[in-house]
Amino acid sequence: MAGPFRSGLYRIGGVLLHPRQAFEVMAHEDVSLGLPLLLAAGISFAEGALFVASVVRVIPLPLSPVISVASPLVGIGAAVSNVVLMVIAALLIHLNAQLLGGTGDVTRALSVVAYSVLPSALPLGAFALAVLVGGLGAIGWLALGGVLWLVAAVWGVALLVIGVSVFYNLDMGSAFLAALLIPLVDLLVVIFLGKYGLVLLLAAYALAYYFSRQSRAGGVAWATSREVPAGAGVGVGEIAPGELEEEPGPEGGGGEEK
Amino acid sequence: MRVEEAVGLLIVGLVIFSIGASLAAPALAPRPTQREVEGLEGLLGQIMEGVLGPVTACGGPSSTGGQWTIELDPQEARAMIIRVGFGSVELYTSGSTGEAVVVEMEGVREWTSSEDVISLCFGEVRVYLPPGFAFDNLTIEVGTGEVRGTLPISPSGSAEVDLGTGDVQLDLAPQSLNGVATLSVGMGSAEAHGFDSTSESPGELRATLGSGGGFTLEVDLGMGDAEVRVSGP
Repeated sequence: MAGPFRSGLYRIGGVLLHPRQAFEVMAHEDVSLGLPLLLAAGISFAEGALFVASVVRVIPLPLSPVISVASPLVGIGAAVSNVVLMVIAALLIHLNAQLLGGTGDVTRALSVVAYSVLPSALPLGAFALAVLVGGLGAIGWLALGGVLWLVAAVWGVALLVIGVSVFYNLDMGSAFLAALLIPLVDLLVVIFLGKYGLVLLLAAYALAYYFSRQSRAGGVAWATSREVPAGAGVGVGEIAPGELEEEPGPEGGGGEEK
Repeated sequence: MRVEEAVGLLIVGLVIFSIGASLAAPALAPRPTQREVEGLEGLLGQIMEGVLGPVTACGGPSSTGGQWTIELDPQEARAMIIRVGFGSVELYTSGSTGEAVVVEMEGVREWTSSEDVISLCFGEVRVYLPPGFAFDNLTIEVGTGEVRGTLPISPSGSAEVDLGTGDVQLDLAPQSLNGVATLSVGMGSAEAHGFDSTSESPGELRATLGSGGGFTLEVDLGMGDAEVRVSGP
């Protein structure tokens, strides 16, 4: 029991401290989804429940006994909805990565999304202390939580992009597009255009899928910024981690066979 | 223990701590005093009344469901208060046997100490008035529902109908040809027929019969249609 748990802890620490190396090791092993997903759900639960708890603490409403019952319920709701959102995000990232010439499977995308949530445990701890301490003493913890939240956001984005880059053998630019920029644009399109935006996105993805199939059939790795020989763009997952480290930067992310 | 394991353990620990804190924090919140709770109940009551109109308290230990018929002495019934949470109030100038005012109720009743206060949580109140009877002072309060029928009113009598949501349809049978009816409708229509003159202002219709110095009828409706017709003395 202790073995897998320690291994899980090691992986988490490894991903947070040196993500590229840790993801490259994971790329050659079975994907570890259980612990990071459980922790991400736990973080979501705590975020939801802490929000309600902070309202009760800050505003001493006469309804506080009622609201305190709602706190764990909101936490469960937040955990479930965030896990669903993570699955949707993983599917979207997987689709984008595939269209950009990457190869990989969706469970790895989900594990990357789950790992990218983990840095937010740091600000969450500070916010939890703020809620527990209450009063003026909470201000310091809130300020620390705010700073840590910014750090965690950048850290999480970096983990997401590096993870997608490694698991899908994409260069960092394409991984940034697949993991962050395109999902953000998708989100904005759906927010501003509603159901028409959704139809537009589906049509755009269908077209992109069609053209990527066509270009692959023609031997050109569509949507990569490099010119590659005919027949390239497949079998890139066979590149050894050592080779990747020898050629870092935009040209070294994979997508072509040596 | 390696650094990676320590960092992993830190993350796991922070998550567990945060979950524990989120569950424990509400218990640390200051408990409201009885006064605060009562204040909030009053505030909620006012909000409910503003939205739904007067709502009769229901479901208390004194409430019970069924069907009742009460006979009231005409002298006592001249001043009457009828309160219904959800339901209807109907007034009839025929159907009463003898000289008594007969009140039929069907639904869930909230018992009160006074018989001239008819309180019904849910259901219908039918009032059968004997010939020649007229109200001196009548108050009808309904949260959601209908108020309809014939309303006889004494020369200097007053009647007040307060309805949150629903329709008011009354045939006014005043015992004098002087009086005023005021229909205030938040959202909906107000109509007055058979009066000598009417004047309209936003949300209010004022209809006058004769000099206007006799009876008064006030209809206050939150949402719905109000129609008052003078059917003659």
